[in-house]
Amino acid sequence: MSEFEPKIVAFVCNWCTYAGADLAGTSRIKYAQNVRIVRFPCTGRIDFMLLLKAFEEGADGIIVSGCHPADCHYTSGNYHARRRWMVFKDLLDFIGIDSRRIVFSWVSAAEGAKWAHLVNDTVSEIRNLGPMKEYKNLENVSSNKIGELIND
Amino acid sequence: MTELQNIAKKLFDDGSINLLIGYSNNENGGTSAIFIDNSADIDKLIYNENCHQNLMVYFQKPEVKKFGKLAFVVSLPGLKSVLEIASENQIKDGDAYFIAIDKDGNPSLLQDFHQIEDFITNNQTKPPMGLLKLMEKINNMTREERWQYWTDEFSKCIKCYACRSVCPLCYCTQCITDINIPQWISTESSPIGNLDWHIARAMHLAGRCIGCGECMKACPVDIPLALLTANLNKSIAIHFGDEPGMKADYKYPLSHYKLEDKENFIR
Repeated sequence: MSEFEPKIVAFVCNWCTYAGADLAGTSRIKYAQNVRIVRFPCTGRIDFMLLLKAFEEGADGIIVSGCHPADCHYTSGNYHARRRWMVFKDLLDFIGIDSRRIVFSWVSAAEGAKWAHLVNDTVSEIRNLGPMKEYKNLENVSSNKIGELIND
Repeated sequence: MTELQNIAKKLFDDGSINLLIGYSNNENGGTSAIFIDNSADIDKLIYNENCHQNLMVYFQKPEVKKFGKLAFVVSLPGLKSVLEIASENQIKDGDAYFIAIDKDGNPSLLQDFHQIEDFITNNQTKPPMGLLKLMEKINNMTREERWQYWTDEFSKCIKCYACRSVCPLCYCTQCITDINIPQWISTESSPIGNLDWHIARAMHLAGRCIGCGECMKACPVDIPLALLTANLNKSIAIHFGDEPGMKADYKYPLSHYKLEDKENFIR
């Protein structure tokens, strides 16, 4: 059996991390191919529902990254995002969704190498955690229940 | 006539209000909300320990707003919701009268937000022990146990949205769950749809929920919904030191920030 290849979705801001990832590319830095990048205007735009949708669509891990504090293109988007993630992470922990599968980071436009490290680290961490089974099992619960209802 | 009815009658006689929302006995032996638009019905107005519904839920309804001058019978949670919706610019000082019931069951007439703030400070009650114990129990579980606990609880959900209807702070004219382009939350009562709905509901009430617990009492399948918002409020108090429903000039913690906010997980 081939080794488990995690699917990672990265939600990144246009002004810092997306440019940082671009720099990693133009600098010819090699990093894991497991990441799918989704570009946003700002980390302040990244709604928590998007993260839940990513898990629903089969992501095993998520990276959320944007400008360092004091660097936001819109002055304060990342500060708002920081508060949102502090609260959202606590909710995930309380509900029992593995918050280690969501990696938050600040990657600036100059940090192509940091981006490559971040992706590589995340991929190896998620590889150790294994596939995100919880959401897939939910789907089974759903169909089983409906099946039971029909049989009754 | 009780003191409560006297206060209500005086408001109608002065012409201060057109509609009073309070509690009355219903035919099932319980209590329900009553909408009184003339002083003839005032003798139906009651207050006892069964009157727990948070009547501020009606404040935002257009059917109620069209009456103009309003009065509400409210206890501590109701008054907290008044301050919370005031901080969200949904109610202005003097928009409505509040017949506040204190912890001994005595009514008094409050109008401006300062009076309400003082009333809340003087009438603080402890949150129910059962809820705190259950929260502690869940927090002491392993992650897998917590996930199992909540999937079991959410699997009971029939998506009736009673938790939303009964909440004085769920007043969006279009709720995220009713939006279908894009469809954020699956409309069927499937495990994923239920999970999404309860996470979204909790997050949208994070730092706003005043803890009246009506969502939990209204839930027909007894999901301990108030735990989610109570736990979120606990983490907001720890991270940012904010508590909703205490002041009319409260700043919603998720739309404000401090440069020195500290977390330990962003790399």
